Amino acid sequence: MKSKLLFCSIMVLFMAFSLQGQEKKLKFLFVESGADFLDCEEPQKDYMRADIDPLWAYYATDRVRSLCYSEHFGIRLEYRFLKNKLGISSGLRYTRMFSSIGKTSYWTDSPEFFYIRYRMDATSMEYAKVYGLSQKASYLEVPLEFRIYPYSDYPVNVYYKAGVSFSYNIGSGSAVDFYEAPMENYEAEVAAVIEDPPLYYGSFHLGIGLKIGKINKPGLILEANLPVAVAVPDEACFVKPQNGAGFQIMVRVPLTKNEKK
Amino acid sequence: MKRGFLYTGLAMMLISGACSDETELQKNVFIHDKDYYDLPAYSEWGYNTFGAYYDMVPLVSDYTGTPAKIINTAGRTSFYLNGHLSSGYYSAGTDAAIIFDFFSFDPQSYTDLLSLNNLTADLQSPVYAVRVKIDTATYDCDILEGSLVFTKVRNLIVDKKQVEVILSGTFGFRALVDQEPVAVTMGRFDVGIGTNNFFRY
Repeated sequence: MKSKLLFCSIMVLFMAFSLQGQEKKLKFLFVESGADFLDCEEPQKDYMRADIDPLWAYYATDRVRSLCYSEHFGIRLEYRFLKNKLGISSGLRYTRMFSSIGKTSYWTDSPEFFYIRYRMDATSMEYAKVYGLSQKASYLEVPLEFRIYPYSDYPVNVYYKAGVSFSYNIGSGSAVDFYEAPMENYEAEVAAVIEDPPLYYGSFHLGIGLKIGKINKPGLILEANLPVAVAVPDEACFVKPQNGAGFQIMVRVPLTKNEKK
Repeated sequence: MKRGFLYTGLAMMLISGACSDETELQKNVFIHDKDYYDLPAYSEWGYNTFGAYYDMVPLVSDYTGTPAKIINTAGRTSFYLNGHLSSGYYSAGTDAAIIFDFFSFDPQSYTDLLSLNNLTADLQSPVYAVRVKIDTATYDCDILEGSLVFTKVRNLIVDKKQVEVILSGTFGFRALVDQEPVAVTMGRFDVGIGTNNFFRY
């Protein structure tokens, strides 16, 4: 029984690769843009005085949080094989990561201030009251993604994906949102306490996509990435993103003409 | 009548606004000591905590309230460390305080406390005295040996304005308290003193 099962498996694999040899491989160019929204570690920092982990009796909104989201755009090439059911793709992305401490949500400012220790000597310790700290970092990202297209080529179709990426920092800048306007004169000194962003990081994501358009025509694709897991080096950095979710919008252009699926 | 309520409301808002200044810096940040878990770790950041073993029972600052006061009156300046005596930080315990008296130190304001920086006080010296308050009873300590060390005393400045002075240091002593020998060990404090907890009258 076992030998029959093994024989059948080998035959299926052989047929699949034989068919692959007869199929003309499809190639696509993707122009893509998207965003990821990431949970971060609690901002436990020596230079901060803030409610990081308040007592249960306090309102949760009193808590100072780390937030992080990234935007990206880029291009990617995809090669299909195994009867065009499987695609492997890679390319280059420009990613901007926006990190903050103090904001209560991604797009609203903090209602509460907290303290940043920015100067200390033998006789004094100086704090600045701030609503928040923020950092923008730019990365070059190389993604490697696998997509499974299990269904027939309908004009609207669903597929699945798994991917990894490696990102390398190419620049960053930090900013401080002060409670007292005159303190803006000291922004450079206060911002100097903010750690650099990670020099590099890796990410892994699973996702589901919605393809609009026939396989041999240009099409539009929407993807949801869930989960997105991020791994940063174990060294001090401003915020440490961990995991979250994201989405991606892509325009797909077939590079092989007159193809049949 | 309505106007009375309005004025009262406005007055309460003003008072609460005034009192809310730097509240975060006045909160207690209790980071447990790795070796002596019942006590706060030694720090010099103005975490508003103190702790010691009073005959091996932890005497530590409360999560809320003012852990320290300086009172200069009647020719004596007293450094109060208020907390509770218990078997754990989160248990209610008994109210307790250690009070260090200085007879040759006359600060006019809390900023004068900077002169305590690097001071090691031999508690057997007649210019110092120690009292212990347990629940409602206060006891004079007959010091056998011990010291109080102000390791670091620094101004705390927020947005370029002086807010308080941070006193950080250690203490320990052996004494007769109510005729009973007592050992206070591993004492450490890191407290802020400002206009709210410095008194001179």
